[in-house]
Amino acid sequence: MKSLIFNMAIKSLLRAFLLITALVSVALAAEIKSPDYIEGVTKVDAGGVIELTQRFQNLVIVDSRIPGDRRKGYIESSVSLPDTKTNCQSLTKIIPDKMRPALFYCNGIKCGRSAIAIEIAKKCGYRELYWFRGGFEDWMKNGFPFVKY
Amino acid sequence: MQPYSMRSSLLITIVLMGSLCVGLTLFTGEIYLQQTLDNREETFSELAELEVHYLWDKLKAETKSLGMSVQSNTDLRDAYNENILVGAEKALDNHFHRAFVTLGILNLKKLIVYDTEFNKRVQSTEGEHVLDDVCPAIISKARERKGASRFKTLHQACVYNEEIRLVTIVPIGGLRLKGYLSVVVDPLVNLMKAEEGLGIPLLIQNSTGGHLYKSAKWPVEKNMKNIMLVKYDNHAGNEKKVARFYFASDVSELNGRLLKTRVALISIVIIATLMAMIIALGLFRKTIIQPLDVISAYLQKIRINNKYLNDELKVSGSKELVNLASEMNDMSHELSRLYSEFEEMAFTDSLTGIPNRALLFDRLEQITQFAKRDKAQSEFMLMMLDMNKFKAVNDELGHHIGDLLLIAVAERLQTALRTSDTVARIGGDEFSIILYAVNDRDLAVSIADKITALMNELFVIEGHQIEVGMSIGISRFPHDGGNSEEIMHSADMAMYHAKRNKLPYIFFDGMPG
Repeated sequence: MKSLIFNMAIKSLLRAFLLITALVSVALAAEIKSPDYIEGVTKVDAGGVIELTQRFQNLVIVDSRIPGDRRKGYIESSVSLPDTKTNCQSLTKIIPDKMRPALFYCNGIKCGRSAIAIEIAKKCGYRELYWFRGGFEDWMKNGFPFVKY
Repeated sequence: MQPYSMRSSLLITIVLMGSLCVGLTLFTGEIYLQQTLDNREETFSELAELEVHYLWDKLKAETKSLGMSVQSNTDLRDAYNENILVGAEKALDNHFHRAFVTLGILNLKKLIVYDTEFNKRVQSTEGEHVLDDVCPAIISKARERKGASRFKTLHQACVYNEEIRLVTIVPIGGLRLKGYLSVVVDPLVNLMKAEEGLGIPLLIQNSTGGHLYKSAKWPVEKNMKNIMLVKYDNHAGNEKKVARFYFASDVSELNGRLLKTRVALISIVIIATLMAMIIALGLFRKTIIQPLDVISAYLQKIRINNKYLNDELKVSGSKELVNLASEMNDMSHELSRLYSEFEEMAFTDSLTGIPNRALLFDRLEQITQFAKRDKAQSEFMLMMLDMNKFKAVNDELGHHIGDLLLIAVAERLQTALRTSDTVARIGGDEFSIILYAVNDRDLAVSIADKITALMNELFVIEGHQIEVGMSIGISRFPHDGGNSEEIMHSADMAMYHAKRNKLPYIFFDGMPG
């Protein structure tokens, strides 16, 4: 009888600990911010994205967000590739040439997905990488065209 | 000007103060009402501004969404890219039949496609007919843009045919700029929602004052009294206003509340004034009117009869009047003293100190008047006395000795009489005596004998031995005369008879024939 109560107490303590850990990690995750700067990558703002599209006819725009976020609207002609699915193989499908200019974006500065994706792309050997850190939030704020289904 | 009584002056002052209070209450009430209404108007006007701004922003977001949706339509893009204008026109027209237009979310007026240099290429056949220059300002603004900003969405509210139009320009072709799409909507259906948002009847006027929208709940003219009109001029980013919003806020409840407060305040002021009047009158009466009445009554009393001069004037009330009464008491005592001094001087023979002729007459008058009412108590006898050798004394020994002799005679006469009797000197050497309540001849005779005996004794004045004789005439009242003059005359007659016949005394009725 005694050991049963003890077991239950241990279990509920364990549950509480897990719950607290989960809460803390959620809280920490909410505070995640993308880095200011990524080595070997050119950072651009919303106007810079427009200029790149005018400069490079073959620019690939990669949307690193999950499909749920993308449904709220996206930059026209961008390709959806969430960071979780980004690897050398999937990248090769959308950017066959390692020297072809590619731009990554996600929701905004609080979203770390584009930074994660661009790090992977760097490792896969892509050289012409551009990063739109302001993301879709900044895009909309500037009143630039978007597409929404 | 007629003089006011102190009481009415006081009342008029209090009533004036009361009226002033009522006036002030009304005045402050009016100011308070105005202030409250102003505050309310200001608050409403800010709310109205926020609401209208919110509605514009919402509408802009919706037109942008529509614009984006239209420009990304593949039918339109294909037709436009291949310069098939009829196809493009059809693609544009299709959008007039989509849900957000047919459900009235947007009142779409026109869709126009421009090339990158803003030359018009094609427009919808649906919507308004002539829309060439619905908003030239936005076209020139869009044309001037350079670089990345050419991809931005532009909005402009314009006045067109006395109505409001919102023109939204979005790029066609996404990041491969092919041209521009202009979405023209009438924002009225969206702005009308301010009425729902604020819950107040709304009236929208155009820039020239014409009505664009008037709520079904808009108050009729006669109910305007309890309505506060809140005005808000909407410029929507333009130099001149594009519309004027009027919100009709019902302030009847506020007015009613203020009226209640005002009535309560005025009632309090009136009650307070009345109470002040009652209290002031009571105090005034106690401290001023009553003492003054006492003083006034006292003055009347001493004017009628100076014997009251010695009465104490007792006053309670204000300090000043108590002081005044005390001063008046001092003064009346002084007056009383002076008065009795004068009286004494007037009725006393200055030489001998005994009553003079005036006092004798006064007493005779009193007693004969009294006799008319009470005959039983009124009998008295009057003696007239004349010294026999006074002239000789004056001539031989001088006036000084004569005067001293008169004083000595007066003293001796007094010793012969009862204290109640009156002896007076009525002339040079003439004396008179009233014997009160005497009807017995024997008593009179004994007194006359006593006087004669006293007068026959020698007087010693400054070493001179002087012999004095007295002739006495006696009359009886009412037997020998009915009034003071008659009774004196009778005594005189008797006295002269006694003198002529060298008799010591004789009764008037004892004279022969």
